[in-house]
Amino acid sequence: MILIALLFWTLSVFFLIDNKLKIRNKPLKIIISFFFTLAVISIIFFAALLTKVNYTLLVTVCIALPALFLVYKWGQLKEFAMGIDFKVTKTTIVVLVSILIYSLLFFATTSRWGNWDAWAIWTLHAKFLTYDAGYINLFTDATAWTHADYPLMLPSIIAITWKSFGNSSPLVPVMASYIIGIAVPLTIYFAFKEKNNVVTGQVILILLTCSIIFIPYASSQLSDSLLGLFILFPFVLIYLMPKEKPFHCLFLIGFFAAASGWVKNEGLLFFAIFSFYYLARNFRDLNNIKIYALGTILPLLVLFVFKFFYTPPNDLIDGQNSATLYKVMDIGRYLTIGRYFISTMLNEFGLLSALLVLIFFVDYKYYFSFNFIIILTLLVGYFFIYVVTPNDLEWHLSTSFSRLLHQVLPVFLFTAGVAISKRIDSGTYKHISGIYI
Amino acid sequence: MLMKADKIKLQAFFLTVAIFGTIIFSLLRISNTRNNIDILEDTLEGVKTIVPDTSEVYLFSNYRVPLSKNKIYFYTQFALAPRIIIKEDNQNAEESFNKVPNNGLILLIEDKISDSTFFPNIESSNEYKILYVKNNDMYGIKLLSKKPSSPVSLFSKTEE
Repeated sequence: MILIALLFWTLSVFFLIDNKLKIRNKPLKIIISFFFTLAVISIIFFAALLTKVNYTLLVTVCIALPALFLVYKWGQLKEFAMGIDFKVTKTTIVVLVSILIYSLLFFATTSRWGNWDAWAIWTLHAKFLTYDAGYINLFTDATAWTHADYPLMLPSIIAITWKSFGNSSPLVPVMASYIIGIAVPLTIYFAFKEKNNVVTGQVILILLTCSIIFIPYASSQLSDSLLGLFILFPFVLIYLMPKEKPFHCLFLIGFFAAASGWVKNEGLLFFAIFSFYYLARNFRDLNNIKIYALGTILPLLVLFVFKFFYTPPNDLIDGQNSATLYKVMDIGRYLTIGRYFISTMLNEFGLLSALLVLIFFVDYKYYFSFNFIIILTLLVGYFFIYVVTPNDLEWHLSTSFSRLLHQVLPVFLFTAGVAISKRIDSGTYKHISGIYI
Repeated sequence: MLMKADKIKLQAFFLTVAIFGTIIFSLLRISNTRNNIDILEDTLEGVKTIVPDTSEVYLFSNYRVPLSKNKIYFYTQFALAPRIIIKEDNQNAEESFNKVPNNGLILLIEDKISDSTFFPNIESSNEYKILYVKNNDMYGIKLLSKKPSSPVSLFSKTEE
């Protein structure tokens, strides 16, 4: 039943944004619509749990509302269905081969119930959310070890699917990870295809689907890939924003930026940083800011309720004490984190390191761009979280640092690709107060 | 002779079939595998029908090694969620048993692979009502309810 609701909602959102976003590429609009739908449904599901709305009623409404809308838009739906043209070219073959290789690698590296964090945190949270009365036990002291303060987008998506199927199948988190994982390279590819930068898109598509740089994390059934996708969406939408009437685009940018906080706590940091730079860049355009803010309302509302009324304190924040000041002044910690960063970049993300160097020669102005400054600030934010962590520093770095790089990998590849393709195409740059876009 | 466009369409068709085939085959493979989580979850199925969703259950297991003891606890919490599983100190089992409130639910999990048989001879105690017992090759479980009574005296252990 929930799959029908997902389909109807995705189609409804697609038709809503179809002409408004000025994006010709239908697969890209479908991906954006689908993940917008997933985020909204996860929020609605959680709200329904809190307000004790009957699940059957919830699904019925979730099916009926978009169904009515689609009936209203019957003509457009018919035109869309009739206009589907499975035009197959050589580039289609490249995409399909990439998806096939991704599928083979994904299923070779994933496992039933995933790794420790996957089942002990994300899937376990989903289990709690599956129960109308029992979900509240997630927020007790006895379950504090499972990080009940972690946001609930992925667990909500898993839980609502389980409830719909009537059982807690391990295949649901597997397929969720598969779909999220493949959406990342496809989003980047279709975004470049929209601007006729097919080669750049294909290179990044092949890089992400056919190498070990991305897939082991995508197949882990954690939330890092989903966060990477939600961090990527605002940058893709900025890249494709129409010059006139960009309202729907701005709304979606605000939505995805804020919704990243509903994926993981790191998403909150991203939202704060992105909003700061975005507002700084657009401070003269009040209308743009209003529409951006409008997009953030729903995710921020659910986050506010979740964080202030339900979750226990975050262990990193709660663990701060008088020793924090000594940690901030301890140069040794900075050196340890720096060394770890460099060794991880060289060993696990060598290709990323090479790209960082390559960009310097192709277009050094990328390092001053709006895109890179956000990514850099985010990494600096992560750096200082490690400086003040109450956990053992080496342990914390070894268990989480690679995943943080995985979160920013898609957006870095995309924005670097934009810079390189602009240089190759000798595109024009917009110079705003010394910041190149 | 196939035209070039038809060749590409044929390639696309076979690639699409290969992708769906990979997905379906892999999901079937994952569906048919079982790991320790599944085995314990199956063993605890009967417990789910007896213990309400919102309950607390006190867990005792025969592991002495901290990591293995924790694993049983985490697996059990996963299997029995949303019920709250409270991990008790197996080193002071009798003291911990006494701390369980009246009418409290106790889950004893014996791992057959472990080399210790740790549990006290609970069946002979009048303080506890046995609600459920299940054994298989991997685990032996007993679900008990503590009867309302005055503080219990020590009972005998069967322990190596």
